[in-house]
Amino acid sequence: MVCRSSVTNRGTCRISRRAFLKQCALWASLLALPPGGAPILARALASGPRLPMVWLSFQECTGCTESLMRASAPDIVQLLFEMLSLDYHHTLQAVAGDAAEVARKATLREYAGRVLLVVEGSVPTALGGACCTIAGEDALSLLRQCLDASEAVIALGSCAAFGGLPGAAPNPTGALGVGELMSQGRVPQRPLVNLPGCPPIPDAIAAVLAYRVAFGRLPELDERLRPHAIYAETVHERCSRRGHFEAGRYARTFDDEGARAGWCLLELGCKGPVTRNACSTWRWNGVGNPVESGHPCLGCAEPGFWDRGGFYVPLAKAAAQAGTAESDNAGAAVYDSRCVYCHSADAGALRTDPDQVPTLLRSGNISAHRFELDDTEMRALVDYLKETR
Amino acid sequence: MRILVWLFSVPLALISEAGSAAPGYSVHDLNRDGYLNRSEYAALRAHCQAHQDVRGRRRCDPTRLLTFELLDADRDGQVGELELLNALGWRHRHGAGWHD
Repeated sequence: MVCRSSVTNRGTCRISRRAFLKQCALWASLLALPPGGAPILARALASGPRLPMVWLSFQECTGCTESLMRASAPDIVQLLFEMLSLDYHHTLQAVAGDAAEVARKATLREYAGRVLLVVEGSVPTALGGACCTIAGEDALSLLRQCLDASEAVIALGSCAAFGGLPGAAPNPTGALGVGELMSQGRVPQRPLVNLPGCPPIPDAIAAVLAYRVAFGRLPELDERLRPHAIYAETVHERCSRRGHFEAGRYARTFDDEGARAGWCLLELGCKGPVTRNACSTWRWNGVGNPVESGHPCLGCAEPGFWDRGGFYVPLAKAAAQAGTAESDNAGAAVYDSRCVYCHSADAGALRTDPDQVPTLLRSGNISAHRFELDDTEMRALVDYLKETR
Repeated sequence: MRILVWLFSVPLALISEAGSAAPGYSVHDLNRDGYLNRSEYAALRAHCQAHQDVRGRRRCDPTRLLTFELLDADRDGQVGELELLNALGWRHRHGAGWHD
């Protein structure tokens, strides 16, 4: 049953060499490696040193772990965990209590600077971290300790990457993603890979781990620190219902003829056109995705997806609603989010002539105004200041 | 002309509020020590909540304010100008998502 040993002729294994090579080819394809990438991946995985890994679970539902554990090819997961030394995992570890914490500390000490850290779930920062404590320590201090000993961190799932459900408004626990904490300097900076999704696709998780083990570095990332190859396209671009979209055939309700015929779900609130993920190409477990099952894409891999209007509100309508709200409140939003920290909470008390504000802000002479407003925001701010007089 | 140039170069916070010549960077710095502490920030939040314009709307929306914890990056219990600018800069770069 030792998967890796079959590849290295050291014993018996459930996974055949053919299946192993096939899986390496799949991962290489998912990561957009060049043609020679799969054999390199296979060789490295068969013989590379095991990588120490610590897996932290904070504010989450364990769905990301479940996603990986429920992979359609369990032997592949087994193989993965032979490449990795999973020394601490709240859900999977056999030990509990003090023994688990001793194991974590020993790993961090023994492999200082070499640990691959996986974070699942968001980190609460409000109320002194009281909303999530493990073994008497709050999540933020646990994260700091583990990051100190880590060479890189993978933020697994939308909660760890962007705050997810715990970070949805009004965010009572002050939940933040790992990247946000690093940006604010509240945890040590380490190379970070975001793997958003609720949950992420199992093969995407496995492929990134395999890439790190095989090549000793992290894959190429996009502007949101997501693996570029996996999150390059929107769900809409390769959607199996795309033909119906092109032909203008939309399901209007969940039980109409269009829905039964598999027509496009855009009118039912599908967020596929604005959601970057590999759901349409790789599918969850290679089997399907929500859209193929008749449900609109919720946009779960995008930041703040819980707060972007109703899941079943069509994109065009949501955009129109947002546009109306924005035009009403845009100036107030600019003032409240930037100006009010230094100026009066009552914008009407600002004595400066609103028409002079753009010149003043863009003069470069006011040190506190180093952030830039684009023309739309500036116009909205001026209009708002005039309105409040 | 020189007076005009000088006026344009002085931080807006120092010259623009009615009758206030606040030291430091914020008119909410009530003890004038150059920092916003927790109680001063709470007062700003409360003022936002209470203050209404002629239409009965809140002039300032407290849900748009960052939490004190987010602003106080070095966790010394007070927010300096640089901390504020870094926090706002981060918010500006990362777009949506307000924390109450």
